[in-house]
Amino acid sequence: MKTVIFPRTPESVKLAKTYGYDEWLISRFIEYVPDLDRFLETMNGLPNQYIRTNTIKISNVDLEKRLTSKGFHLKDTVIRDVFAVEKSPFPIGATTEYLLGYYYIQDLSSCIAVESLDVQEDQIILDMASAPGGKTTFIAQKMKNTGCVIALDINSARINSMVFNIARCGVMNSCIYKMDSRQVADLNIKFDRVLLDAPCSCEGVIIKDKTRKTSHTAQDVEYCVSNQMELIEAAIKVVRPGGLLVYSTCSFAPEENENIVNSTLDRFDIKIEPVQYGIEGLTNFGDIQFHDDMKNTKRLYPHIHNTLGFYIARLRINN
Amino acid sequence: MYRRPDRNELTILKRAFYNWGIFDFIEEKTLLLNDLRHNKIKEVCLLSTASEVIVFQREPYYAGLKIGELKKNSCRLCREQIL
Repeated sequence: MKTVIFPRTPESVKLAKTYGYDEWLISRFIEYVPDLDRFLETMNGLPNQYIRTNTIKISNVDLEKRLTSKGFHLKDTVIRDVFAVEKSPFPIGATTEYLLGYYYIQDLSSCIAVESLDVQEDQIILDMASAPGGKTTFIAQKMKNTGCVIALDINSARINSMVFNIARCGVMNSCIYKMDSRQVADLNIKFDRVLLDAPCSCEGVIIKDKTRKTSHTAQDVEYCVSNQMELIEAAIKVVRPGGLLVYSTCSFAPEENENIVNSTLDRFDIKIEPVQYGIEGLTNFGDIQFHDDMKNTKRLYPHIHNTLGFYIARLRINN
Repeated sequence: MYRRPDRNELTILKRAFYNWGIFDFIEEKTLLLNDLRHNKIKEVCLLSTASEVIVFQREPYYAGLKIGELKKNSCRLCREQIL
C-alpha cells in the first residue's frame, strides 16, 4: 500500500517549521491526531517513566515499600502491576532491586498490549518479534511460570539481551527460537495466544527519540507495511481456533495499524474484540474506508494517555 | 543440546540442591542440561513442564532458566537466579 501523503497547507508548513518535523508527517498528523497542538508540545517533552513489578520475584506492596524508602515516588496506573515513576533520586535502572529482577522498566502501553492478550496459566503463547523480552517476561509472570511462552526473534544481539532479561526476571517457562517470525508455521505448534508487536516506523516513540521527526520517510512506512502484512498472516495461521491474536505497533500511521487489521477481515474468519484502554481506532483515513469494527481497536497517545504512541488490536480467530 | 540429566548427574545435582536448601523448590520443576559444545560445562536449566515438551520437539536457542553449571563431579549453582 502506498503511504498516503496529503497536500501541503500553510498550517502544515508552519507546524513543521515550528516543531522541527518533516512536512509530510505533519500533514498526516493533522488528519488523525486529536488535539494536535498539545500533541506536538507533548512530543517535545520527556516521556513518562513506568516500571512493572516482576511478581515472580516480589509483590507490588513490597517493591513499592523498598523503592519508596530509597526516595522514589511511585503512582498506581490502570494496570495493577505497573507504577508510574513520578520522582527518582537516581536513575531507575541503577538499583539493586532492578539487578535482582524485581521490576522491569517498561512503558505502560506495552503492558496494555499484554493485558489485552488475556493470558491464562498453562497456555502455550507465542511472542513474535520478542526481543528484548519486556512483553515476554510480563506474559511469563502472568502465567505464574507455567505453560510455555515461545519467543521469536531473528537478531542475535537482541536475543542475547532477551536471555539476560529472562534470567534476571527468573522466567523458567520460556523457549527462545532464533528465526524469522514469518516462518513460525515451521514450529508446527498451535498457540492459545499470539502477541505480534510488529516492527514499525516507530512514530509513537518520537517523544523518546527526537531524530525520528525527520529521519523516517514515506518509503519506510511502505516497507514496514509489507512486512506487517506477512507477519500478521503468519500469526493468524498458528492461532488455534478460538484463540486470540493481539496485534500492536508503536506507530500512529493508519497504514501500519487499521489498514493491516482491516485487510485480514476479508481473508480470515476473525472477530475484532474491544481493547479496554485507549481511544477508538480510525474507521477512515483520507479516501480509505475501514470496517466499523476498527472502533474496537485502540490508539494510545502521549498527550492523552501519558504513554508512548501505540496501537492495539485484539483479534479472536474463529477458524 | 538440551537433555535430561542421567543418574550420576542427577545425584550431583540433588546433592548441590540439598546443600543450598532448595531441594523442595526444585522438586516440582523440570530439570534439563544444556551441553555446550565449545566447552565441557553443562548448563543446568529449570523449565515448566510444557516448555520441556516443546524443547524436545525442536531445539531452541535458549530455554528455561539457567540456575547453574554442572562439571564432572560438582555443580555450581547461581543462587540469585533461584531467589
